[in-house]
Amino acid sequence: MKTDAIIIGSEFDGLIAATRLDECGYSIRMFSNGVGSLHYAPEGIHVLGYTSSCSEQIVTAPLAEIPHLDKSHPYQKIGVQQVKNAFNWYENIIGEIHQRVAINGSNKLAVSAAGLCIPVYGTFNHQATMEKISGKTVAIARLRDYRNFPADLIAVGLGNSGINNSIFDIGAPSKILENTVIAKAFDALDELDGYFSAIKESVPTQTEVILFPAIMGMSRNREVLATAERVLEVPCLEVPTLPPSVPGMRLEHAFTHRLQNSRTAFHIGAWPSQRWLAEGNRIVICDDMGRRFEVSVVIVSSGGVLMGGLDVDSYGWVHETAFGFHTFQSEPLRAATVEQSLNALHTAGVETDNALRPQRKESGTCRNVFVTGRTLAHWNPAMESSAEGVSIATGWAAAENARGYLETINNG
Amino acid sequence: MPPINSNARVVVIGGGATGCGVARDLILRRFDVTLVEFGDLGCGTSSRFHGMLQSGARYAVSDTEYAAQCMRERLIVADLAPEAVEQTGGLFISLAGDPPDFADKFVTGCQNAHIPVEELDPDQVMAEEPAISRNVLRAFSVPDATVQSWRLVNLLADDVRRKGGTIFTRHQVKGIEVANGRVRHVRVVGSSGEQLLEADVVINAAGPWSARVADMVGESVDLQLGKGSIIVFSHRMVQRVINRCRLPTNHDIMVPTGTVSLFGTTSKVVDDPDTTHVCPQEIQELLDSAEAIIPNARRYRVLRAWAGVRPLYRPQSWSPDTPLSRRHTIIDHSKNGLAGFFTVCGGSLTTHRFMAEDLGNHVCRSLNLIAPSTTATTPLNKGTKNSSWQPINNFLKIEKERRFLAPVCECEAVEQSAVIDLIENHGICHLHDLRRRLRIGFGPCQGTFCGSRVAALIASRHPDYPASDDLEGFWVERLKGVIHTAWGSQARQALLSDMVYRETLGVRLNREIMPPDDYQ
Repeated sequence: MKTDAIIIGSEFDGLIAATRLDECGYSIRMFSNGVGSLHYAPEGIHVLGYTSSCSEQIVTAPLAEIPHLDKSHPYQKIGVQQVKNAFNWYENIIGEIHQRVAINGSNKLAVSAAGLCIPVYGTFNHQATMEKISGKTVAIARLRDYRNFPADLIAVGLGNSGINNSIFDIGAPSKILENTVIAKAFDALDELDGYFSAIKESVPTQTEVILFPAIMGMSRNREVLATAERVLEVPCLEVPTLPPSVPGMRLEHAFTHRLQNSRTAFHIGAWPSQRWLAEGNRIVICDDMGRRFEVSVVIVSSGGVLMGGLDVDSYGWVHETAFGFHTFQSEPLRAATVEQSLNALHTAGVETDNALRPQRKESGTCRNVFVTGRTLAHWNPAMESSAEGVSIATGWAAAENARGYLETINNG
Repeated sequence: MPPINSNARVVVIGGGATGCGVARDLILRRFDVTLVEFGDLGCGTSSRFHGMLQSGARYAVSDTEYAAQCMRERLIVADLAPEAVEQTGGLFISLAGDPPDFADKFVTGCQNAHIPVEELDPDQVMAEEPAISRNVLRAFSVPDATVQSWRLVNLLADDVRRKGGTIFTRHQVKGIEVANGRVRHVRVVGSSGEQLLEADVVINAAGPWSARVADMVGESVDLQLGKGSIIVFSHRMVQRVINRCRLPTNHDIMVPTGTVSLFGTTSKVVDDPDTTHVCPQEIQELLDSAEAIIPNARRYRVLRAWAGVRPLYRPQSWSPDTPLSRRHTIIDHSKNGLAGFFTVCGGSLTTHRFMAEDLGNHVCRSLNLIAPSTTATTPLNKGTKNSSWQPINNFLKIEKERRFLAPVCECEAVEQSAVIDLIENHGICHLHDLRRRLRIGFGPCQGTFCGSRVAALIASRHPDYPASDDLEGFWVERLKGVIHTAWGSQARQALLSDMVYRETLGVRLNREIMPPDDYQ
């Protein structure tokens, strides 16, 4: 079967690039070797929460802040207009395949798993934000014996923000108290009404909004929360839990299902071997089982150090693990403060040109390879709070650049 | 001189192994004892070392008398506090390149110091310890052990409290008041404000900070502060403490403790007792030396690195070209006209009890009292004999009860009930203090998941608990060690931890968290 593009890694940015290329009629194969970082990401589209200066100011209008970022930052490489295009495209597709995301041009404050505030650009319907709960009497649902939702911390945090709150205990629908197991148990509940009716009397009186841990169903999430709201007669919102993140998985599933329903081939557990060669306009990639795939474009979205797309050796050098692309790292990797050292780890990555094309030591800049997301250098998802934003923007931009390349060779 | 009865009031400054040991020694001699510690018990040098309970074999050649002292004390500590000691045993291995004649001197030294030593078949040793070098020429077994220093220090402190002593943690000594050539009061500041503690005797057991304490009364204590860095491997790669069969030098010792192994130590003379920063090149030095013992050292996961400051006493007679003694020194400052002020310095955790006994004897002599030390024979821990500590105990318990999702800290299998007990019954309400007592945050995830769970338990019982500050402090302290060894899996761990704290919990790093590298 003819394949136009291979995506290495199933990070969020890889799913974005694949969806975009698929939408444009190209055929794709996805290699992946484990879970993506969405499994660690709390709900919402984080575009740019903090400025990267030491003072860590909260950003209110992320897109307006992009021109002030370092010139090598992925957003700057792509350019504000392209970033906007990417978010517009994303808003449409996510509404179509998952659920509508509320974007209004400025950051809102989401409630964190410790009851603190995290700036977030796009929020989902049932995601707890300060806006939705301020001035209201809040009840926090604590699942008995469940470890990954520190309800008492949330109570203290919200109390410090002046939000009147209390905690009530509920039982989980499953015996095993692990995030995904509970979420799937909610999916499997025949009697959703019955479950929420049973907890109704433990909800403190005068409650105006209930905060649940973000494990209220995996695929039936919207139905679970809608039922909760109907039975309990107050808005029901979700607050992130400790990882793995169920909202992140829901998002990942939405994209994966869409790609599976088109003709995309998923190679789970496959990883390219180091041997690859360019033959004219075609790239030949061999997977670790020796299968040969001939494609026109490769998109590398294998993640950063966290997901294994990059590796650090004990001498402090950063390597790209799939193909050995030229990497950037600030030298030395270990800096004077913890903050700087962490930043060095985050910002290390593959060096690319503005079209997100990496370099190979022997053959210079690649024409038909694009790098996305955390594999890229010069950005810090944790400090900037920009993980989803950069993933969407670079995934989309890589797909657009790949599309441009594919059109040229198909016409030429 | 005013008469002093046997209930003389003693203030001990410093809550490490030495200070707690001294407090226990003196309270058993019926003194009225108050101990003041500026942080938490055992948070200085007592916990910032390789965790070895010395058989003394390491010093059998260089200082046979000290070696014999270690051997005696090692047996007493293991007998008194079995729950803090893991009887690992130790190995001395001769590798190619080690001085060939040292091994025989070593055996003679051990025999002179009454340290049981046995030569083993190198092939058998290499079979039993598969991670170590294949170039072992000779191997000796000695009764080295490892010690959980926080557990030991807390056992000593609990015994002091039980016998009526007072222990102030998080209290800083602001001044020592002297009248007519005698100490009178110690002025301390803590969370409840300033207090004046009456004192007939003041013991300066502040380890590397001793010189600062002595300075408050215009006395000088000449210490050589040696910073030693240690790395922690995430595996128990060896089952026994491994030493090189040569004169003790830098980075030549590997100590299995709990589920991990410690390798150390570097040595660097520093001026500031608060210097605990690890330099990148120290890590490389440690790894290079570790490779001699464990050829694959660079391929193992390393959890973190830390440094402690070892205070060695520099006597006036010392000449710079001779090594400083590891033995302890007691200074009775009455020789300079200040009665009732004593400094105890040098020594080691293994010999802390002996140091305390020696100090107690000095104190009694100065007060013309006859009260022999009974620390070696009085049982610790309410007199009940506990079984020796096994790292696997927590895990076995959880497996037996099939409560796999119950622990708040998976890495060290710490259960919620243990945390709640300390919060409710012992008034411990800081993550760091819980960490030292329960080992939470010690394992591979370095506090990524347990931090917020434990903070929630504190918050549920203390509504005014400053949760985000405490979480930030805890996280920073963990990261400080992790960041030095952030390669391979641990680099991924550091980033995961960063994501969980910043993106899931919303904790931000707002303070300058590590001093710039001042002596690189």
